[in-house]
Amino acid sequence: MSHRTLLPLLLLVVLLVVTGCTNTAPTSTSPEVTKVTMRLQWLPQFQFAGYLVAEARGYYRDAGLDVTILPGGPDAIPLPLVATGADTFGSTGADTILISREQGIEVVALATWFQASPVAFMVHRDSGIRSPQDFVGRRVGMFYGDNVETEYRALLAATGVDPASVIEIPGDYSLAPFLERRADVWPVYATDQPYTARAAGADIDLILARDYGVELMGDVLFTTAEFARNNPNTVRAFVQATLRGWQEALNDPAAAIEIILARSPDFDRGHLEFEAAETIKLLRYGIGERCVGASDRAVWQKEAQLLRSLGVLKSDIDPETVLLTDAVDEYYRSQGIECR
Amino acid sequence: MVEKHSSPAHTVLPTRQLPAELTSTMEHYVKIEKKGEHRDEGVDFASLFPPHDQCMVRYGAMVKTTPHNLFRRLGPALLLGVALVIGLEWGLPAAGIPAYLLPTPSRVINAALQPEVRLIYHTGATASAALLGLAIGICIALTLAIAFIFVRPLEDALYPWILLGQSLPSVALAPLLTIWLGDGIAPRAAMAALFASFPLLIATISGLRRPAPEQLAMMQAYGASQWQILRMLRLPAALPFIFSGLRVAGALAVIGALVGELAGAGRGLGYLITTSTYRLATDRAFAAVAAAAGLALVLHGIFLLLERIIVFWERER
Repeated sequence: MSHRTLLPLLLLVVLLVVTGCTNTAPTSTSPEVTKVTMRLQWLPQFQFAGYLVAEARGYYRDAGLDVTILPGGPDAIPLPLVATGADTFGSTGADTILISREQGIEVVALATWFQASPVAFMVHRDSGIRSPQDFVGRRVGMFYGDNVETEYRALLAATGVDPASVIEIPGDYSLAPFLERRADVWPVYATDQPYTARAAGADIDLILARDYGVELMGDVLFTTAEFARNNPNTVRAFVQATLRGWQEALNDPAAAIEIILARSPDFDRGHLEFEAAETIKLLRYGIGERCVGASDRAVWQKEAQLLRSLGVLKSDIDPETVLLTDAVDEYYRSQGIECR
Repeated sequence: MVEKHSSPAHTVLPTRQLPAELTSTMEHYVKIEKKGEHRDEGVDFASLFPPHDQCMVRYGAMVKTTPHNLFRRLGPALLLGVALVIGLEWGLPAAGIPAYLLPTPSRVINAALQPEVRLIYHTGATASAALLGLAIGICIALTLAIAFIFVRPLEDALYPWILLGQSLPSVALAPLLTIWLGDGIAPRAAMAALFASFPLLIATISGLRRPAPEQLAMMQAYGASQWQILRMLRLPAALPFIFSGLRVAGALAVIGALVGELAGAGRGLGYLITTSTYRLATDRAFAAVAAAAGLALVLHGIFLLLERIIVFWERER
């Protein structure tokens, strides 16, 4: 155990010495890191098809990279893992990137996958709940500290519903409390969980925050500003190989599903097909219609302002400072595609 | 002769004065014990325990494993288990309880047998993390406990911190362990070691301190070195404690590995529980829980067997 704990410490010291003493941009002679890890937010499902296809088809290897894709979990959270250098790349919500900058964590978004938020508020069709105004006096499942909470607060603010008039119930990723009607509204990943609820026999409706003017994004690819500064070629290669993976997953979702099933035989094919269809809608939303993975400055600006107005952000964050989209822009330019 | 808790422990408690909480079953075995005449030879380890525990130690030591005895001991529990399984199998659908809340035993068995669930693969992953963690935990606990005997200031300095460490919610460390130790088996084995080492350490320390002052004085009078005292007196006296500590540690190592996997892993029974709960496949989650319980039970059994072989005097008495 000792050398395992000492090694990162040693690395940190070496890193500090190197950055402290030289403090110059790396020259072409310093070799870049090519053995990298990619930390997902959750299980390796269609939500991450781009990475999984790129890995299975050898696009990372072709680009000279040795990539290990690692699953997320309730406590395997990409932001701390990437920020501390335990992992190289990670997937997280756009809001997390903006918030982390305010906390002094220097991470940059390399690509925006979900142009619209995957979060939805699931209700039983017979509950009579049709809009956020109907939340009043009802029990809403809440995941504190999650982007779900941000989206929920934004939705209430946008529709003028007093948060005190809604009963919040702490929940987790299991749908059982909703299905047992111990909660009337349950925040879900629209790409995934409605299928589970329907399979369990529930007749459900979804309420989307974007229908009420709350425009938030979802999954983005990120790394630390420092890693991107020191390894520009690795970053470009990783982003562009992933873009290739996504393009193939969008063109042939069935093949991508086969790749995912080969990796995790316990996944359900019907479930993955549902997830694929819903995920593609989010990827193709807005600027993604033409350029999957591109970042729309205006949408990022709007999200930063929204988070500021909710008090989630304490100061104005210029999205330009957290976006590093050269690799994506270059990818589409080289194909002659104009994104904006 | 009146036996007191605080009296020197080497005096053998006459069986007729055993405390009133003896059940009739116990008395039955006490009668058997009276026939034994080898009381005075060697150290009577049972006498090192408080009176009530003496009964338990003697009781445990005396029961011969005949089919009749086995049925007497396990029969009621087995019958209850069978009744429970039948009751759940019929009762759950009758009560209209959906399978995602509580699946019937047959559904759980069915889930366990589905090849795509890969129960054996995931059980193997959890078992390796638990065993590696257990091995590390045993090394740490035994080394520390023995070091404490030789270097008293070490114990004085560390013991309060160990007690404090035991009361820390180790579960909260799960996300940090992934950051510190990366992926793979290391963070889960570390969690298993963390869970396993504390109870074993505490048990070993109290076991090694068990010999009575008179016994220690006698060894010293004959010029025994600290090492000889450890080998000939302290360790044999501690072995029953070490083994009961090991049985607890084995079960806790499995729980520790599981906790590490629940935090986020690509395989193992904890992974299976997380993914199954997310997909409302509660039958799979129950299959994983049953496999984890089985794993803990196997470890328990192994240590029980080892105890019977190694601590033979407890059995022969």
